Amino acid sequence: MLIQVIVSGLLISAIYALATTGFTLLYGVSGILNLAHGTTLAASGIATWYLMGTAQLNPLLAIALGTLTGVAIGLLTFVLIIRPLRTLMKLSVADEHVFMLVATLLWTIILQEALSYLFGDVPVSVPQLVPGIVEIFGVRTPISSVLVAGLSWCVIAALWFYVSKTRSGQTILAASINPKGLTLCGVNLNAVHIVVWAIYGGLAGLAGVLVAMILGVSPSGGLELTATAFSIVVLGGLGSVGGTLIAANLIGFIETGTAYLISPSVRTLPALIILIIVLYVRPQGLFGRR
Amino acid sequence: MAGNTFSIRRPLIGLAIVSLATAVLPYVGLQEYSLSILTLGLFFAVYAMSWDLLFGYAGEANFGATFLIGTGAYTAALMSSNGVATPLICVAAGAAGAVVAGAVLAFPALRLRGPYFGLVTLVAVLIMRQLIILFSDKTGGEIGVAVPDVIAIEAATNFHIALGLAAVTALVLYLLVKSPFGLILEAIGQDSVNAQVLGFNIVKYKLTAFCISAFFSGLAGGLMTFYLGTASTNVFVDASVGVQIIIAAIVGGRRTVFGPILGALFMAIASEYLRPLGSLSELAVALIALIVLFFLPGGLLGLVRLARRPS
Repeated sequence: MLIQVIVSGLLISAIYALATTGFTLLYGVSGILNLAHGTTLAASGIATWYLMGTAQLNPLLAIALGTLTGVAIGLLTFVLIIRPLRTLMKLSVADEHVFMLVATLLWTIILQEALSYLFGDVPVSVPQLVPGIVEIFGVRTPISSVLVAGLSWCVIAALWFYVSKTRSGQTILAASINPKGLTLCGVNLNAVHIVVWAIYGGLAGLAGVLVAMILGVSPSGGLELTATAFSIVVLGGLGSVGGTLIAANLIGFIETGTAYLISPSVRTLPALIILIIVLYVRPQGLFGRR
Repeated sequence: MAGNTFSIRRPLIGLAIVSLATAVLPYVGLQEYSLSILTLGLFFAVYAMSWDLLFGYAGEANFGATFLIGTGAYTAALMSSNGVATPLICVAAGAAGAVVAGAVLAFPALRLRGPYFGLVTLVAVLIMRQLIILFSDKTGGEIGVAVPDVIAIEAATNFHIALGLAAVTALVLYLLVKSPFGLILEAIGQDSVNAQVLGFNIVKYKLTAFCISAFFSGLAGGLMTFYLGTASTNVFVDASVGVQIIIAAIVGGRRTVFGPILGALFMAIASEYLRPLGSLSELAVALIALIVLFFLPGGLLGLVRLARRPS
């Protein structure tokens, strides 16, 4: 039983970690909390499900196109919502964050309703990539789930490598620390934002496909995914990628434990309550900076 | 401008005239069905006005409007279905319950800065929803609690109850935001650091605003429960209902008190006309709200003002 919780917890946590790094990266660099995050995940998952099932595409191609859907939605979010909000309305800093939340929330509804119009508001799941089952410490686990968890950690490692070891990644880091200074160094901040949103979209897209494979997604379930991502990111400390990874595991294990020990229907409840307690005791999150 | 009695009195006279003119609608041949749409729209208007007190004046995005409304609705419904009290006492208890729940939620949450407040309020709705489903033997789960009593059966009476509530809410909130309290609240919302430097206790003001918002939300929630005859999660405790309230307030006009009434009625009527579009109707409404947010930050009411006073 305990081993079962640990194995499933590890698998789910890996996906959570991947699904939230994009969210936290975006906040770290642009200071934007994208409430449409969960719906972006759902859209990519649903696109892959459609391409694989109805359009009968090669699974790998479908996954790649699903990830590209995420990139497209990420860029659309930036071009249609974020940039107009910043350029059209001369908002004060305090106003900007509430308007940003409201605008991305409206964008969520638009995406969600478009999805349910096109594909119907039903939960869908992407079929497993590889059939078969493997025993880990006596726990029967689909090979596909193990692959998904491995892939998640690989992508996170690649992201870490990109941000800390490449020049383009360092530019993004610089933009998160001091955007004005970066502009003075002759870097086009707008181009940096586009790159960040594209990376964000790619991460969210792939994560969406994997979430659809393990948990299933639905258009109206997007907001709940956002809430989970939000909880993880806040628990770990906004903008702290390391904190996010730890929090993803924490939430993943708590949810899995709850599902096994109490009931799957209240899976998300303890994590939400813990989140509120943490916020009251330590508002900057477990690993956040003030 | 706020100290000028004229500028305070004129909108109030306008409110009285419009309310009285609206009150005769049932007697000039408006059908019961249309009346029921307007009744729901007016309840919605109360939610939107209460929400805008926090968003427009206190500068906080409360994503947990339905936490407050739901507390009012469920308190009233559970008391009534267990035969504890008469409907009006149930509604009063609902409003009181919402204030208590709001204070419990907001007192710690308001110490949080930036997006954290919004997050906590959003999470509060999700927790409440899960708890209702978890204790479904008492709360009826997703189906909801049916209330055995009614306050009024006639469509016209119900319409007048909703209208009266909306008018009283608008009156109280308008006087409030034009009072010294309201001006300080607005100052806090626009520049909390400077307000703090001037010596105002930010948490105290925001908490009071939150409780007032909770009171009207809970009151309307309780009354609407008796109007609908049931309290269910999809109507009262739902993040997407919260989104509708936000849309209504923004479309109507942020920081205007009366604007959200227009917004809520617009939403009620628009969703009726857009019904043939199916799920696209919500998309259309969200799109309209987004366009209004970008190009008309003052909302519909802002448009009226713009037309009246070209600058």
